[in-house]
Amino acid sequence: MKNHSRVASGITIVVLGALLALGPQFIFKICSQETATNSFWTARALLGIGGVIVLLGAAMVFVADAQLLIGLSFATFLNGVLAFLIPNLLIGMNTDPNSTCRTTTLPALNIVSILLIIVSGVVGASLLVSAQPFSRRTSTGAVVPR
Amino acid sequence: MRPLVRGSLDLAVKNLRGQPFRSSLLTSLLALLTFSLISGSLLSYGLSNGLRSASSRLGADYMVVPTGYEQKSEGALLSGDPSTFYLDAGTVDQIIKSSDFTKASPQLYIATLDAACCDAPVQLIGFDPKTDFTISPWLTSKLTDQLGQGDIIVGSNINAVSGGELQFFSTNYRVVAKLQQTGMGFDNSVFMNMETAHAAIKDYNRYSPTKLPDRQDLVSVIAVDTAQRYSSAEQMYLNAEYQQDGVQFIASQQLISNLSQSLSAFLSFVTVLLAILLLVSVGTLTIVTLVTLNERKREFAIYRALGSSRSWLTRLILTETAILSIVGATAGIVIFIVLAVSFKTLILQKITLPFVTPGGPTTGAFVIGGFAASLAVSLLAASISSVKASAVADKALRPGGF
Repeated sequence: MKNHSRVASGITIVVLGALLALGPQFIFKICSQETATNSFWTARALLGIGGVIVLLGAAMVFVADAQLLIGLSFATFLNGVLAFLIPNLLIGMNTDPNSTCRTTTLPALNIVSILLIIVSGVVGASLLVSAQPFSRRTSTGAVVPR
Repeated sequence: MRPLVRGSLDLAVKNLRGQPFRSSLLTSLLALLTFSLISGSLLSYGLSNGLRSASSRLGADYMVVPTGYEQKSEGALLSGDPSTFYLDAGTVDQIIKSSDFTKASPQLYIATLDAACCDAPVQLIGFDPKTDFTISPWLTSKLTDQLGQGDIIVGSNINAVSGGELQFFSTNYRVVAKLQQTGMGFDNSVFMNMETAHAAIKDYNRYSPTKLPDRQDLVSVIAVDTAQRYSSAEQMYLNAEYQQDGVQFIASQQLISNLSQSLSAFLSFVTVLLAILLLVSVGTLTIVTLVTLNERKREFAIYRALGSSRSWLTRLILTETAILSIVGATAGIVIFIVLAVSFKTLILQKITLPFVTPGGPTTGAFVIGGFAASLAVSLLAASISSVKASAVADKALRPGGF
């Protein structure tokens, strides 16, 4: 992977992670700040997951090793899937279909988490395709490290 | 024009990949153009369509409302803003029995609370199914039974299906039917018979600090039809005749004409914006391709020196532009679909004017139209600059041409 592609991917992941963490608090705000609501706890959970994604994205900017990058993008991919599942399935959102939680926050979160899954998936897949395999099989059938 | 051989197509792709910044800039411009064309034209279409049959959707010649509540009732009729207001009981009786009107049907408006008591804050409208002529025509399917106690009909924007239940205050109501999309306040309202509406008022009074009068003859609005067609003289006569009763006659025609005026100004603005965007896109694409001609003159001269014809050069430029516009327009369509599907409810909430969502085939036609327009615009810009390309290449081949 070229350096500028790696840096661009890392920065994109940092931005998307920051949107996941801070979006429900400041940009596409949740409809209720009451602790008894699902929306409140979804926003809290995403604050943590978004923070982890920001750190993973920042690590991708600075780490050049292909195997480490594959691990980082895989971790980002799984966090993206978790970020998608939290508002849709695991914790949920306010049930009123006309509330801002449903009309604004949820669609925005879905778009951000799906973009995150796509970006980390593409980065991981391209690294896997271009990276050297970890081991090879010799003519005698033995598996030896490269 | 002869089709390009595979090698030339590969060459065009390689040329574009060799200039990632320029290619992504042009692709973004075309994506923006396609997105704006599709969303702008669908918005204009939905608003024009919404207005076209709005008069028939209001259903009645006049809506009789309490004096001082004209604004509130217009909001309730057009955008479904939850409101609560009432006519004097004696006046209601007088209007319903009056020979001035051929049809008269009372309606009772109750705004539900934006609180945990209710599934959503909406306008509850009690109506009399026997005299009604404004709501029933919009039913998606005929009611199999009479509208019973606790039965409700929901507007098209209310998230409920026939057979389901909705809670308002402390009562669960059975959804028996759904209205077609009207593009107006009815879409965000819930309808019930007068008995159910009076029971809902009792419930309301338990939750709200402001108490509503709990009378059986309570009415908010009367929809009336007259024998003659609407005229401002008739409206003036009616307003003067019933002035002492504290009511105002809002003419559906007048409501529509006021809307039409504000809407036509808005639609003209959208059309001008789209035209400017088209011109800017043609201009930008032409300028960018003309500017890059100069930096590519050595490349073009080499093609000519290797025996390429002038028409081959033209085809190469057109192919490069076609690839960019197909990628850009497709990206614009994907962005439009993602945003339109994700934020549909929010968009419909924010459009406070009569709006009918275009159906699948119409949306498809606009999407294809947007794609074709973007392709046409970029090919037009490329044709303008490709005329110059051959001349630039030939000039570069002459001594001192570089």
